[in-house]
Order: sequence, then C-alpha cells, then structure tokens
Amino acid sequence: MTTYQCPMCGRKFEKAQATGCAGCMMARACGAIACPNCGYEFPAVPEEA
Amino acid sequence: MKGPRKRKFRHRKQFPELNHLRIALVGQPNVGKSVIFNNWTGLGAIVSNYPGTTVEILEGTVYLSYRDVYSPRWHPGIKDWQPTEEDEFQQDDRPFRRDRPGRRQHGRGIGKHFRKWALKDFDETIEGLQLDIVDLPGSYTIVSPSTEDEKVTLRYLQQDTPDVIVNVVDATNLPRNLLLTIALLEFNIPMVVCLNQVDLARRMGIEIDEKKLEMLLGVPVIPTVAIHGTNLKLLLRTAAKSGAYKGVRPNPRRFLFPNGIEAKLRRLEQRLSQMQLCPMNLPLRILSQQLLEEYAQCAACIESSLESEEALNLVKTIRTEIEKEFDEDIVLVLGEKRKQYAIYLTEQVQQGKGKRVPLTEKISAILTDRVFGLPIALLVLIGSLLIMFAAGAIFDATVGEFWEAFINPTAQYLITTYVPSVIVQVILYYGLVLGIQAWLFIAVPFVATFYIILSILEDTGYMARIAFLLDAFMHRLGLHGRAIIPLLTGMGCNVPAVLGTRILSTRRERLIAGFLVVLVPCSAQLAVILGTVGLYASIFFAFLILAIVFGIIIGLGALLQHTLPGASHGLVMEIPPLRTPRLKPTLKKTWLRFREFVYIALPLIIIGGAVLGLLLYFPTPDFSYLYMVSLWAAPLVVGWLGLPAETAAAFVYGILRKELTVELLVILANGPINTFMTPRQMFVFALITTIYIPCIATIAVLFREYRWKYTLILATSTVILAFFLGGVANFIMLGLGFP
Ligand SMILES: Nc1nc2c(ncn2[C@@H]2O[C@H](COP(=O)(O)OP(=O)(O)O)[C@@H](O)[C@H]2O)c(=O)[nH]1
Ligand SMILES: [Mg+2]
Ligand SMILES: [Zn+2]
Repeated sequence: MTTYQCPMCGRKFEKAQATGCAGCMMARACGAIACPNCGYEFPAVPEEA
Repeated sequence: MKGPRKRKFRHRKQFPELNHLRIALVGQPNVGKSVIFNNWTGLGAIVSNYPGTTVEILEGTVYLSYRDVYSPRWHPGIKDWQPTEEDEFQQDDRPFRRDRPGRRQHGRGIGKHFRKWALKDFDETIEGLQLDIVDLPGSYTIVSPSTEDEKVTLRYLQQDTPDVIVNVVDATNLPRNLLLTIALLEFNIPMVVCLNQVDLARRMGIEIDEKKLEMLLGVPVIPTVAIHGTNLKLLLRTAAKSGAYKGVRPNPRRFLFPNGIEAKLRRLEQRLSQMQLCPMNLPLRILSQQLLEEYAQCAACIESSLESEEALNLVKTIRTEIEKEFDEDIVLVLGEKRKQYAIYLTEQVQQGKGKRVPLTEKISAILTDRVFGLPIALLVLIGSLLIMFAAGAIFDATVGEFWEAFINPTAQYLITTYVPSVIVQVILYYGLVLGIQAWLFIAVPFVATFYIILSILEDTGYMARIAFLLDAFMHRLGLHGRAIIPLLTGMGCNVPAVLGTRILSTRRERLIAGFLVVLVPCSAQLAVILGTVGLYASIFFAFLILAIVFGIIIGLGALLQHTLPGASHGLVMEIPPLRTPRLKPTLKKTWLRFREFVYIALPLIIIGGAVLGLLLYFPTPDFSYLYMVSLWAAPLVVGWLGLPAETAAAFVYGILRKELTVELLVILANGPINTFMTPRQMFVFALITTIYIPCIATIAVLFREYRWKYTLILATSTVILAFFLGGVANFIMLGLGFP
C-alpha cells in the first residue's frame, strides 16, 4: 500500500483515506490528494520508505 | 447483545463518579511541553493570563473513551525495588494514601489480548472522559521559585491542584530536569514522567533505562519523541489512568536528605503539621525547605499563624545547626544534596555521556525556535519571492526578447500574408501568438519557479515547521485553531479547503470558514500576481499586497473567531524530520502541479486571447465591442479604480482562473506591461485580482457545499470588498503622488 505524508501537518495516510478533490474542474485528474487531517492538497508522490 | 456499545457502557461503569480530569504539563523551559500540548489538544487551545499575573497558561480539552482509561492492569514495569546497602541515597517510599491497598489485577488469557488490541488506537473524537490539559509555564524549580513563571507554576499546583501531573523531562539533560521531578514527587498528586526528546538523546549517545528510572522514582516513565508524536497517546492514557485509579497508583519514592539533615527536616515537618497554617495546599516538606532557605513568601504565611514564634525559632535553630555542621550557607547545602541525588539517579539509569548534537537537530531547533523561528520563516519567504522575481527577469531578458524580436514579427508576417480572412487572422494572432506569449511570460517563470521552491520547502520538511510556527504565532495573537486551518490549507488550493470545512460541526462555523478560505489566494494565483507586480512594478508593491491579504485574513479570523465556540478537536501535527530533498520526487511534484498550467490554463488563455482579439476588432477597430463595454464600465474602472478602461474585460475573464487576468493584461498591452500600465495601476489591478471573486472551480464547490444563496452572497461580498479596497488604494496612491 502506498503511503503519503502530508508536508503541512506530517500526517501519514493511505490513498484511500485521502479526502477527495471532488467538485474540482479537474476531478481527480490533477494528481493531487488532500490530507485527511488538515486538508492541505499536494501532488500524490508517495513516501518512499 | 454484544456490541461495542455495551462494552463502552461497561467501562463507563468502572468510573461512576469520574467525568473529567485535569492534567497539568509541568517541566523546565524548552523540554517540549507545548509540542505535547498541541499534539493532544490540537489547535483549539485557550490562552489566558493566570489571575493577577502576566503569565500565560494554555488550556485545551481532549476526550478519551472510558475503554482506554479502563484497564485492570496497572502500567507495566513498576516492580518493587529496594535500595541496597551500598546505595548512596535512601528513599522514602511511605505511601501517601491507599484507598485499596495494594490491589492489583493482572490481565490474563484472551482478555489480555483483547485489551491490548483495544488500547492500540483510540478515537479522539469519541465522547468519553474529558481531559482538560493545562500547559504550565516552564520552571526550573518550584522549591524556591524566582521567576514569575515559576511562581505561577507553584501557585497552580497548590491552589488549582490538578488531578494528574505530567512532568515533561528532557532526556538530554537528565540531572537538571530531575531536580524539578524530585520536588514534584512531594505533592500528593498522581504523576507521570514523560521522558521527552529521546531521539535527540539517542543521537547524542545517551541511552536511558526508563524501566529503571520508573522503579527509582516510583511513577510511570514514558519515553517520547514529542515532535514526531511518538508515544504521546500512551502518555495521555497513562496520565488518565493515573488520575482515574487514585487508589492503586504506585508510590512515588521521595528523596531523603542524607547525613542527619533528614531527621532535622522531619522534626520541622512534624512541628508544622501540628500548626494551623494558612490554607495553602503546599506539601509540608517543601514548606520546611522553603522556611530553612529563608524563602520570603512562606515566612510571611507562617507569621500569621498563632504559634509562629516557636516554629520560627525552631527553623532558626535547625538552620544554624545545619550551617554549622557543613560550614556553608544552608541554601548551598540543600541545593548540593538535591543535585547529588539527581546526579545519582542519572548515573543509575543513563548510559553514555552526551556527545555532540547532530547538525540537523540543531538546525531544526533554531528553525522552530520561539524567537528566531518566525523571522527566519519570513526571510525564507522573502528569499523565495526574490528568486521568483529573478527567474522572471532572466526569462524576460532571454526568451522574452527572443520572442519579441523574432517569433512575434515572423508570425505576424506569416498570418497576414497567408491567411485571407480578417477574423481568422485576428483569432490566430491574438489566440496563438499573443496568448502563448502571455502564458509563456507568466506561467513558466513565475509559476514554475514558485512550484519548484514550494516542492523543496515541502520535501525538506520546512513546510511543516512553518505551519507549526504559524500556529504558535496565531496562539499568541489570541487566534485559535479553527481560524487558521483554512488559512494553511487554502494556500494549496481552495477547492479541497472548502471541502475540508465539512469537519466543522455547525453550519455557521462552516460558512465562516468558507469565507476565510475563499479570501486566501491559492499558490498559483499568488505566484503569478506577485511575480508580475514584483517584476514590472516594484518588489515593494508585491510584498505590500502579500501583507494586505494576510492582514485581511488575520483580521477577519480574529473578528469571526468570537462567534466560534471554544473547545475543538483541532489539528494534530507531527513535524517530520529535516532532510535533504531528492531530485526526482521533487521534480515530479513540481510537474504534477505545473501540468495543470499546460493542460488547462494554456487552452483557456488561447481561447481568451482569440475572443479578446475579436472584441477589439469588431464591429470596427475604432468602435469595438470592447470599447463599448469599456465605456459602460468606465465610471468604475477608470473613475474609481484609475485603471485603463479595457481592463474590465480582464476582470470578467479572470473568473475562470484568476491568474488569467494578468495574462490577458499581457495580451492587451501587446508588449511589456509596464508600457500599458503605471506601477500604481498594476498595484490596484493586482490587489483586486487577489481578493475578488473566487475562481470558477471554487464557486462550483461552494455551490455544492452551501447552495446558491450563500455562494452568491460570498461572491458578491468578495467582489465588493475587492473593488472597494482597490479604489481606496488608488486614491491613497494618487494622493501620495504615484503616477
Ligand atoms: N528532537 C526533539 N526536539 C523536540 C522534541 N520535543 C520538543 N522538541 C523541540 O524542543 C523545542 C522546545 O519545545 P517547546 O514545546 O516549545 O518547549 P516548552 O518550553 O517546554 O513548551 C522545540 O524547538 C521543539 O521542536 C523531541 O521529542 N525531540
Ligand atoms: Mg511552552
Ligand atoms: Zn495535513
């Protein structure tokens, strides 16, 4: 499972937990995910262990 | 029925009387109390001055389910330990009070595994035991407090007696920290020692045996790394348990003075216990030491007592006895003994002496420092913007010149000679040539540079530190978490930030947060607007816009936060370690952000350019549609804002994406912007663009979240606000003599 770490609040989470960018013009095509903890949006580049 | 509901109820029943506990974080300065406090309470803390002082204490709330507090098994690891003959120091392990003497249950069998599993993770939002956390000011000592902070800490422990003390201890400097721990053990308050910064200690070559320290002190010791959030949940649970199981807590092993001092101290203690003292809830042992050390405040308290004469005489006698025996001032004698004990404890539990602090830790400490942190962050911000301006200037001088000198004339020649229709000529020239030119000038130098810098800030871990600093800064301004979360997240993109307001509980809170979010310029907008203004008008103006925008946000946040209720489950931060960014992920991040500018912004600007060209040339170039619109908008745009009339079109098109306004401006200028607009005009234009109507994607999501009424109100009010401020700025600058 790929995990991401939010650069704003440090929360580590999995893709399924990310809050979506639903409602955005790019839908999910923008390649960004938003942190479930603080909502900060950043490009989905997984954390390398 | 065997649902979790029933279980919860069962655990609730273990504490029929228990509704809430107050936990005080006590420790020396800079040990990490505030980091722990923030982690537990999130951003929703309340700052207040301790009554009658200027000292700030922070209070916050967190909930723990009863299931997490209930565990028949006491904190593991505290075994009975007796000092051996050759041990230098003896300890006092008389119990304070035992309601249920010595009853300890041990988990067994499958139940044990269940509890282990159940305690693994707890849900902070579940209704349960309310824990009020207090962050007390940093104090080196409470036996003879000298600073205002220390006095407040002591007074708090006496008068507002918390249910549990969490003594935060810096593992890198155990002897000094244990001095405070020893004194805290004298209070009849359940205590947990948090051995913090073990990461730093380990890297300095210090290993601490926390189990042994636990035995020596007689209270639970939890090793933690506060900045990474390690073990903080366990610490909270242990603290809650210590408060909940008053009867079965282990006994703190208190320090006994050696060499006959102890007997004398006991005598004094005995005498004091017979007196009717003022209702100060100070442990007699600490009071005796204070009296012996002639600590002024308590002498006054004793004097008010009836038998004070005799007691004070006893104090005097004992003091002279001890001073004679050691031939030294009593303050030094007692201090020395305490220090020796602290060093003794340290030697028992610590392996390895502190070596050097690793460089990254030093840097990290400076970056998040209370004093230097924010100025450094500000410098980094300014530096990043300057780099952006420089990149813009270089790009302009090279690619820009080349485009102006070769591509543009060549394309113009090709279009006019080979394309017969005027309409197609205009569309091609304005859309493709000028459109792409505008996009190139704006998107590439400013946005790309900005995104590279942003990715680097994120990947080094500095971003999280800025968030941490900003949070602390907001606290000092009296703003609590809910007003700042949108500020931080809105910077990335407004759309998910608006969606993020869903976590707020009431509709009113969501509306307020939504309004704040919309005012925050997203990073793309900011890069374009600041870059253009900085490069073509003045760098000072760029910073001014930044300052105004954040002034508005902070001001609004402060105004609106009064309407938000206090306690919240705020943001939990875990600051990642500093590291050097790696090239590939950083570039990938930059590209993922930037590609939106290729796939979406570029087509939009080409279309926009073409439409603008048509509006400029038809029906006739001298009396075009754009001219008609401009005439209509002139009172506002020219009269009030002092801008060229054509910019009205840019404002309208900017609804699609805000940075399009600036790109359209480049097309309108049909050359360098600074020949088309003066610095004053650019400033006003940029200010309005920053504030006015959110982009269409944000409007769409606002509509989804709040329905049309509030969306309309929000859009209109931002537009009015923007045009109002723009006009004010225009007249102020005219008044100041800007052309
Ligand atoms: N390496 C490391 N640094 C920490 C840890 N906990 C806190 N710090 C740092 O210690 C400094 C002081 O923390 P703070 O919470 O302000 O201390 P306070 O004065 O006790 O409230 C900050 O720079 C923190 O980043 C930790 O567990 N490890
Ligand atoms: Mg602090
Ligand atoms: Zn986050």
